[in-house]
Amino acid sequence: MMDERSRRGLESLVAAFLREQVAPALFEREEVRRGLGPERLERVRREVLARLEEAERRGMEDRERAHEVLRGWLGGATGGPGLEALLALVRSWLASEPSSRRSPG
Amino acid sequence: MTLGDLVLAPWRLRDLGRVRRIAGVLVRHGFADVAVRLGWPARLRAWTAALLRRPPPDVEAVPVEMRIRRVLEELGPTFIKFGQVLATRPDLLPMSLVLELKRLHDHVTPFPFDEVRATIESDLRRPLHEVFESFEEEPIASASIAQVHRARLQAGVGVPPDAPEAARDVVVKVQRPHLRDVVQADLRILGGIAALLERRFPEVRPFRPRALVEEFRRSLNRETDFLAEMHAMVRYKQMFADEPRLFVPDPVPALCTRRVLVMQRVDGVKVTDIEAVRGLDVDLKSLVEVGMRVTMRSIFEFGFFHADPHPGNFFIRPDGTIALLDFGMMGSIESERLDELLTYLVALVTGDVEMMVNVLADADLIGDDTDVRALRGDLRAILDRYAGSSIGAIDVTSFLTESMEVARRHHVVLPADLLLVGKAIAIMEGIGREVYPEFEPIEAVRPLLTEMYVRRTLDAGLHAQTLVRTALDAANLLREAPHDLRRILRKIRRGDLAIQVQSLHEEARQRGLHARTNRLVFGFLFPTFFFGGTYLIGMESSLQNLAGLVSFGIAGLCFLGLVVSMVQSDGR
Repeated sequence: MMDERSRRGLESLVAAFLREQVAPALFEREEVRRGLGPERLERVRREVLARLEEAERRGMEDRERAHEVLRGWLGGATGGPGLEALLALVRSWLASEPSSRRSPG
Repeated sequence: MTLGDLVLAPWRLRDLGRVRRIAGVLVRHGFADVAVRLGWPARLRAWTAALLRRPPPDVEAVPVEMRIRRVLEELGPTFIKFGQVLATRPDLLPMSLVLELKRLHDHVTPFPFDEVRATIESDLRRPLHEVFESFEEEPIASASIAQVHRARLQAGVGVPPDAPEAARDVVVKVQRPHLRDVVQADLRILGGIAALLERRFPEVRPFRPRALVEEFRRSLNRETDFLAEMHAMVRYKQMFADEPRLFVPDPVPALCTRRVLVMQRVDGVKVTDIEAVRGLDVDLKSLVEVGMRVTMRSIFEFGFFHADPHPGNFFIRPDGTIALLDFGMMGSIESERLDELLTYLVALVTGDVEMMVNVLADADLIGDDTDVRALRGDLRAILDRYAGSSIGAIDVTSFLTESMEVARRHHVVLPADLLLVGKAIAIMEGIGREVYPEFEPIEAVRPLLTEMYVRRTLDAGLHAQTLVRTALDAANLLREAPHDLRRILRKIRRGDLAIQVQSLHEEARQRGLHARTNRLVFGFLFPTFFFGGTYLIGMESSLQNLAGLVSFGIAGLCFLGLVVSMVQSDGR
């Protein structure tokens, strides 16, 4: 489906997003703080952030390659508009909050 | 049921004898009406039995739940196992029936050693003594699927020559002779009964009997394939390579077949022998925590778990490690479902009702007719009630049971894998409380669950995978969308677009039509033969008189048919 280097590149992009955008909000959430307790929260935070940084670093050089693969798939499908649609999809996916945070129906 | 139905239902012809036996058992336990409504040939059996051998008068006095359990017990291993599966569905069945079905036990007498030997020798294609230095003829356990014997391997057979001496001490699980044939026949019949139930008992349809039987079929097929069990043991062992306090016995792959499983022997104390466990020089609290951690990790980290962590399958070894046995019934859970479940449980242990309802809605588990506000209220009531108790006093099993009842009341049909998860957690909680009464399950589970939830939410590899899948799906969708759209537009332009609408009352309408046609035919034939007979009986020739009598006979049958058709029609 995706070669090893592209996968690493994509993982690096996702890791950066998770570390910068998602992790701070997640560790602030009440159920997480209550569920883990202060000591465990700190330990888990350290471990998880270290893992994300490692994933970021590991695939830093392959990020462009991952972009190329995605562009290729979508470009092959419908050309430019397809790629834009996918990127919009990815952006909205990355920006979306976990389902549990949406307001109930 | 028409003759066509009979011919088209292969299980009925092949398994006629067994179907009749089932009908007989149903009648004996006061379920003649069920047998009758199941149709031919059960109907014939039920009528005959009802006429000739009415059920004992006290049958009706026995609660219906108890009678259902007795029926299943009388029908043998497959039906007992099916009942045990139903006992894990409090979301579908009334609690009184679930509790009764939990009492189902498969009391099975061991099968003779000659059969054990025959199965092993046939599968391993060697005489028993070439494989085993000794083999205890008396089984140490016997159940409906298999029985287990202690044995010692010949030197150099199955295990590497440099393996320790103890590696030659094994247990051998041998499947009951002809089990697969019997199970397959019973599964066919169960499938047929489920289809009939769905067709003829509208009140049973919401319980989805066909889907339940299908689920059961898959589970039983896995359980009767010991190679699958061997692979599950290997996988579980690999999963917990970093858990020094869990012991999973090694199978001996060279000596495992679909019907024979040879594995390392486990010495230790059964966890059900509470006195002996407490007598061990081990920290009981940490022992219980290991058990709970393993259960939780197997579910939420690996999505592959022991679906039958029966207390009898847990042993405590002298070195304080927990040995887990019997990997015949394993559950697996998909990544997406795992996320939903994890989120739901985090919401549950942190008392977040909004989050619970959202997860149910996102997972499409809430029906169109569910009153979401009322559901939210009921969940809140349960959480509030339990929030009032001290954490240690919360009984997770009762809590889950009550939640299931709420689910049933609000038509939230839970998927089987989730229920297996619930069952696994509840059993582990029960064991924990037995071994270490001060065990506080919620307290033990909360940090574990929350940590797994955080790690999963921030797992870059997992999200990258999802992203790739989504991108490929989107690319496929975009690639095919213009073509699909063009096809639909072309059909609309040609007027070829057909929309199939299924009427909810179609079946009832068909039945009514069928009954009316029957009455019309009988109504036409009766006077024809009656007046024909009258005419013929008045003739001089004895041959014509005989024909007249036959004609009267046919008229009588037509009349009977007409009456039966009218009575049946009124009964509906």
